[in-house]
Amino acid sequence: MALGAIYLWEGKARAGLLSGVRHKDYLRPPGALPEEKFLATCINCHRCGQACPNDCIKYVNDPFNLVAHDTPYIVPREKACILCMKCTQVCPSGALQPVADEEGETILKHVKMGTAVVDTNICNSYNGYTCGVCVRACPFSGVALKAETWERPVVMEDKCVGCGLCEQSCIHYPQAIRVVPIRKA
Amino acid sequence: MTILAGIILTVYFHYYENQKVKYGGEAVIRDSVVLRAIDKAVGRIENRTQLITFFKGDVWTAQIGQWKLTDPLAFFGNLIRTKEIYWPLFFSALIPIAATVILGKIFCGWICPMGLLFEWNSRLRRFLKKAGLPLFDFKLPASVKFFVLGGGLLTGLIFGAHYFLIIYPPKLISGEIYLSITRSTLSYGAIFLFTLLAVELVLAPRLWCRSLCPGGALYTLLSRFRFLRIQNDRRRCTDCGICDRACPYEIQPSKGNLSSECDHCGVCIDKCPVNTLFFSVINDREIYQRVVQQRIPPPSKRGREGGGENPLPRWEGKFWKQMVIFLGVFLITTSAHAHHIRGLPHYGYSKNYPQVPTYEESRVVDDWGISFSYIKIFETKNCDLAIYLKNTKTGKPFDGVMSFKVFGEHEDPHDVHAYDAHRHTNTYRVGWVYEKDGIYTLRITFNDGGKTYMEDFRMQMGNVGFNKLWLILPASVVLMLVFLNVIKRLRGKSVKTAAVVLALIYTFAAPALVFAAEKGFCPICGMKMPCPMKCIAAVTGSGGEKMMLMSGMPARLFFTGIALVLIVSFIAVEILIRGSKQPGDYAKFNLLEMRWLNALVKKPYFKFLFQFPVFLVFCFIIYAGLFGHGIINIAPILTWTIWWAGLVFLILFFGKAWCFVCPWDFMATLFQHLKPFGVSNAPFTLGLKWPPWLKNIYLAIGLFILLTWFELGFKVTASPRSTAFLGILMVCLSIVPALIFEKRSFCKYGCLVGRISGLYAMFAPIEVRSKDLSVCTACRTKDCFAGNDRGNPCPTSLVIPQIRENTYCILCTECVRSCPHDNVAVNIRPFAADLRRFKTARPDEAWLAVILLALTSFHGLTMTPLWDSAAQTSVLGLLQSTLSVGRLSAFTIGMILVNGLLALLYYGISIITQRFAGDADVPTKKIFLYYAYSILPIALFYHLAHNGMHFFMEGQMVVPLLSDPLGRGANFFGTAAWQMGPILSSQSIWHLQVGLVLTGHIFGIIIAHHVSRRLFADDRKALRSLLPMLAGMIFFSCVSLWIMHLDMNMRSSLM
Repeated sequence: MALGAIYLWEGKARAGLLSGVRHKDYLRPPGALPEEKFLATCINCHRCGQACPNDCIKYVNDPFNLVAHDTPYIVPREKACILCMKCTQVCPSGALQPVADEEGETILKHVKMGTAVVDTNICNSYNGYTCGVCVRACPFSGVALKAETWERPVVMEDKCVGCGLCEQSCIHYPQAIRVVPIRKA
Repeated sequence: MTILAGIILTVYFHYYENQKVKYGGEAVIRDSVVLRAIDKAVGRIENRTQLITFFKGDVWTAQIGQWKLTDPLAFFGNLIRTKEIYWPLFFSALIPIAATVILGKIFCGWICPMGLLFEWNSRLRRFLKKAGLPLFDFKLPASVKFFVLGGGLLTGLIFGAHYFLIIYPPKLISGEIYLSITRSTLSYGAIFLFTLLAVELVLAPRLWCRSLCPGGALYTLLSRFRFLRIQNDRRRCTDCGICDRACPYEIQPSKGNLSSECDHCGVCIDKCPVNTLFFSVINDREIYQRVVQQRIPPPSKRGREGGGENPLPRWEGKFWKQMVIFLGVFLITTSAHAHHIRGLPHYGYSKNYPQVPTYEESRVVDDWGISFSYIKIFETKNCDLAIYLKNTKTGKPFDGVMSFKVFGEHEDPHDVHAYDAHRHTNTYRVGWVYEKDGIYTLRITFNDGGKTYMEDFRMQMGNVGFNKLWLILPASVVLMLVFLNVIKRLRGKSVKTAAVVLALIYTFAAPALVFAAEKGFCPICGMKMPCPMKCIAAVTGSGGEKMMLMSGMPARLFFTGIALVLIVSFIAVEILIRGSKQPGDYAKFNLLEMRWLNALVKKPYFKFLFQFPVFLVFCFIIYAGLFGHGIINIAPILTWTIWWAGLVFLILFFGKAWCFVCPWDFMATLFQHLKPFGVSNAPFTLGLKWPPWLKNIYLAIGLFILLTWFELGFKVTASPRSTAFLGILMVCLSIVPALIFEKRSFCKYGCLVGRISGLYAMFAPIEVRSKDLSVCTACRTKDCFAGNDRGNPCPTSLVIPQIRENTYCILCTECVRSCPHDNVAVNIRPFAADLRRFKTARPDEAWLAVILLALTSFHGLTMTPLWDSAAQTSVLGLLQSTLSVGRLSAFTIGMILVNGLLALLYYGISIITQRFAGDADVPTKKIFLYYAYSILPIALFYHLAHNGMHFFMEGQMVVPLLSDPLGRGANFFGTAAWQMGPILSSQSIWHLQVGLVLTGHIFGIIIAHHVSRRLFADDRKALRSLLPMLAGMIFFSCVSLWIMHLDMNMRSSLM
């Protein structure tokens, strides 16, 4: 018993049993707390998914990772967040902190789901085929995602909210611009 | 009821509202019957949004108007995990907490949607019990739930994890309803709930609410000082006890003041025939005391006696009505959303531009991050496949040559032409047109730093399903007819009911399986495919050491196999019931009647003629293994693929022919007799008797388990050196006992090869028996046992007239020479003759049979990527990361787990069989031992199917190695450079495998039938005992098929 307790406190079990197995970076809906805290707070009630008019919120179905099981996430390539903020307003547990309205200013200030990253190896605009689709898809075009010469996209990391509309719109496959979830400690 | 329907409707309304708001949602509404109905009903109302979203959420967390409500369990769980109060959550939990403190556990009794399901479950249980099924009645103390609550909170404190979320049924059912409606899928929760319902049905009624529910525990604590109580007017109570029996918590309402376990469900009030129970808001102990003191003795005891068997009938009628409504509601809980939309990147700036689904899969191999994606262009069959390789260290893209190869499920990769992909913006692309829907594999090959990489990606194109669905219906009807025929013959109510239940399950289960698979759901667990377990959609590319991945049999063949197993089972039972004759004598043909053979066998050097060449080959294998090349070597392939895999085939047709030519026996005999053949009058041995406590085959079982562990855990099969060492070890194991003990004691008791082949040889169509028993009875010298100057004494100490089974006879033919009356016959006989007629079951043999089944299945399992692949999804990977242990420990633990579980399962089946048969004279142990012989054919034929695959897939590798056996660059026969395909195509092998499993299954049933006759004097009991065993055998056969359905890592690394 005592050994077992020590084993648990060592954090070995925590690393192995809970998060170590098939750990994956999920892109959480807007307003989400930092990942560790989000997992501790979310009560898996599916209210965010019910509220989402865009059907973009999915739920983790992973019996091997019971901590993350049934928590909401977004796959922007399949369907990106349209930043309506409805999910944040219905969340009962505070795992998604409420964002009052869907004004651009408010969202820029409060929402940080992740950051878009451009892969210049494959981006059309960086390889001689002028494109610029992502810049036009960005809701904060010119602020979060700027177009340089030949429509080359440049991400402003501090402004990008990580909605993923750029990733969804990218005409290159695999997508040349991706949202990487932000994990603040 | 209302609550459940409420949840479902709430979800529908929400979904409807969202679709209405959203662009393109009209199409979704049009497609769904329910949404269309809702649209008709409320679509035109002005304040629709306010109206239909008045209720939000479910019983876990809800919003009514502006009031937010949350389950207190959610609040306490969060409090303990985050160690801080989130005030909105606290306020929303306040109302339920206050309600519980005042009114008691009203949530459990009146709101919890599971309460209803549990209630119906217990009604179903009562019905089954009435039908005579043996159901268990297992109970846990009610206080266990407080430990569940405390344990959950404690884990929350330590791990920061909310365990209630995965075990709290009201939450789970709400979630599952939501998922099934809007996402047309189910998650883990459904499995949990169904398991729970099944457990409550069969093992322990109302187990969850009474003893396990953490929510119930919390409410019990909160409702300690509630105001609302159920009270009993003792003055009018007749003590009939109806309420006590009706109470789901067994808290005896008749005693009056109820403990806080009471959930105020009111069943006792409804059922009370004299209406003495009532709700009361007073908690006045004085009144209670006064009531007790004024107690009037009950007028008659008739009520108590009459009420026992027949709980009030007025509820029963209601039950069916509720059931109909419930089913009606659940039927419309079908998905509102036929397909989940996958991958819709915009190819224009407008949101409603038509879109193409794309798919992406990423993995990392060494330094390379590989991203595979494809798009299928609208409704055509044109696809564009793209691979992008990026170095994870430098961030540079790959710029070499890459070749693509696409092949279907039934195609052999070797036959498919590979072509180079063209490169555009650092992405490798190939256009591809597929012909028909199905699962395809893309195999990419590229070179980097002298290493060749080969990766497989799976693609599902179009609808992968069963085209011949219409076949299922007539098949079901035929099955049903067969069942009806069987049921007609059965006597006894309980047997009949059981048979009806089984028949219903089997008739509808098979089509359900197929339909589920066709719809893209896993037929085993119900998860959407491809599932994270990867058990059905097989995994690809391991990334580590390159083994050849042979794809398992296709899904269609797998399910056909299962269906065939089911059909064959019932047809076999049908036939067996009809013809219930005892096994009589069987036809034989004595080989020794052929004069030339008789003369040859009588020669003293007969055995030597066969043994010596085998001995030479054996010596060569040892030499090659020890001194040959470390990889290109003939030793492992000859040993493991040709000999070990071929051995089982040899046994199937020739019984213990291996022991006849065994090189180890040859060496032991050489040492013991000091001459290669002929009779030895003074054997060179201490001649001790084999110790009595070792006179069983447990030693052989141990060695077999050890060898399997060694073989798989250390991958001996690929290493020439360890193969040779194992061979030498066997030499020592045979020679040393030969010098210490008399005769061939080790062969009889300790040799694993001999014992396994001995058990299997009971099935073989060859035997050594006496020609005429009367001659043997008259014989006084018993030369077969004692030996004489023409033949040695029987090495395994058998007396010919007493041989009934092949098990311990090693076919050495000494008795043929020694018998003075020429009364020994070598017979050809029907298959499985011994198994049908064996007299007594030996525990050690029975255990070997069970272990053979477990270990051979395990052997197959270890070769699948499910067991071991670079991905963490494999069993080994999971064990390693969960327990933080090394690979070998994980392997050992896994081996113990898998084998132990299979053995336990068989033991469980024996217990159920015992209960089912209901014969106190036949204990479980006896059933365990005797029926073990009936699963032996299943083990044997799975072994054959598995080894057949080895033999036919890998056997050809011996041809090039024959020319260069030591890997020294020789080319004796000019075949060293031959590249040969498998002996049989994978198509043929799959069909062969299904055929073998079916054959084994049929033999198993026949033998089980004979076993049941022998165990039970009563025909009906015998038949009853057959049913659970039959289910078990079907299960084992299906497991065999399933393992063969998985992909296999073949030992191609030798080449």
